[in-house]
Amino acid sequence: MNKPFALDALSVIEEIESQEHEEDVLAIFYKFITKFGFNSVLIGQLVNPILKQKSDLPIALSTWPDEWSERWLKEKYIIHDPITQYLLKSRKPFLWSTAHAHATKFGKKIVNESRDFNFKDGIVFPISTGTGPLGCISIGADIVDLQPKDLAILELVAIHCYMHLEKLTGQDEHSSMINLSKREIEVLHYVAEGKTNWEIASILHLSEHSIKEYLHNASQKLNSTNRAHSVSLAIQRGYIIP
Amino acid sequence: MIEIVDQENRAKYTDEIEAMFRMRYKVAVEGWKWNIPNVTPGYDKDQFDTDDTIYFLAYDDERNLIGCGRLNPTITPHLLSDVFAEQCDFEGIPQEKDIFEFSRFIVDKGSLTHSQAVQYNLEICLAVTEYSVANGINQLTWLAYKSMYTKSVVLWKTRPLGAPKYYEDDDSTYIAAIIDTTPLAVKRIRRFCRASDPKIVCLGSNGMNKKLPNASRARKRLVRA
Repeated sequence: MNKPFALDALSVIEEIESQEHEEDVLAIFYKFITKFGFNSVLIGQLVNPILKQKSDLPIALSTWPDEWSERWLKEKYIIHDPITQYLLKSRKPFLWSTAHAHATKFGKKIVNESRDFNFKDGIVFPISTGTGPLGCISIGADIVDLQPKDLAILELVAIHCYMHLEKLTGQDEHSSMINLSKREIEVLHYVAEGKTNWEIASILHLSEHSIKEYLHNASQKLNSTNRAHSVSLAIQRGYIIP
Repeated sequence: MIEIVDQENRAKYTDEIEAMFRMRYKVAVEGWKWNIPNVTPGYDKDQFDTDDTIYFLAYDDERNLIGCGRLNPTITPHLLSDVFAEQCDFEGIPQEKDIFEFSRFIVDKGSLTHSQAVQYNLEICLAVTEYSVANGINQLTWLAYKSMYTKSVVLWKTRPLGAPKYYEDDDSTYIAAIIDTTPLAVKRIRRFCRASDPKIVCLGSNGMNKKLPNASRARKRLVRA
């Protein structure tokens, strides 16, 4: 690895992590990527827009034109955008053009609309701390022409940038982690299937009182208001799969 | 519960360490497809499992071994210096008395839920950090999966030692990193794993008795086995 490149990456990481405001993080990251020929950036958390309101999106920073940002959010393009679709199954950085090649019919329409805003090609860095992606940093350029060492440096800086934003917004995965017990998850799973407490008690060979206790504890941990809300939150947090 | 094994209590942990070698093979070699040269089938013990190695063993309530990690001094041969030196292509391999290498960080997910596995991961991270703070180890180097590197950015001050490198054997990208083990990091990891309960780290050795600045404070938080 070329030393100046490495030192450049280390100094920009240091600079990013000393910032206290999201906008400043974005500005430093943007300035850094322009050196590699990029001209737009989106830093986004991957959420299900049906379950989350726009105002709940903790990380959504971009240099996109307002009109395109608003349309993308309002029309829930996140669901059909080939980039978000590809992000769900990719752990490695990928080109927009690679994702575009897998677009659905509606996805192609989104890509065509984005051309009106001068989006041409770009690269996406999936950010993950475990099983699925938390979100991504997507940077755009007229033409992507990166050497492997550039890609490596950009990926490292992207990771630090995204995670620092999570720290700043208090959205880090573990700070919101709730430790449901195995039994509580099991009970919620049967609630999601429409079973009554009596039925769950019979299946698990426990008393109805115990089932109520498990649900009460789960509800407290999830901060939910009723059974349906508990199930909804457990699904959102990935404890049970609908 | 995490139990820490070092030179002073090694003799009491012979069976547990043997079980750890078998678990490491099962999870890392069979499960994660790590390509460890000359590994004995069923038993992952390498040249860096030495008398100086400090082990962290994670147990569940029934004392089944769930996870492990190990620390080695960097002033003697270790994984990054001898096997993965090419991963440290920024400014070389840190080798200092107060820098140890963290490796074989493994959690046997088995039938655990995702959140349970995350919890064991964090508890090992906490134990390793607390041990380091109490024993004058100021930094740790490690070769991390990209996802673990990403997580480590939140837990510790983390800096890359080299560019990310992809390995076909296990279809994974690794990043060599150096992390600062500070009381602030301990506080942060404690918050993440909700470790207000001091039983979470159980020290089965005299490791905390060494005369170091933070030792007395750390000792209060730990329960001796």
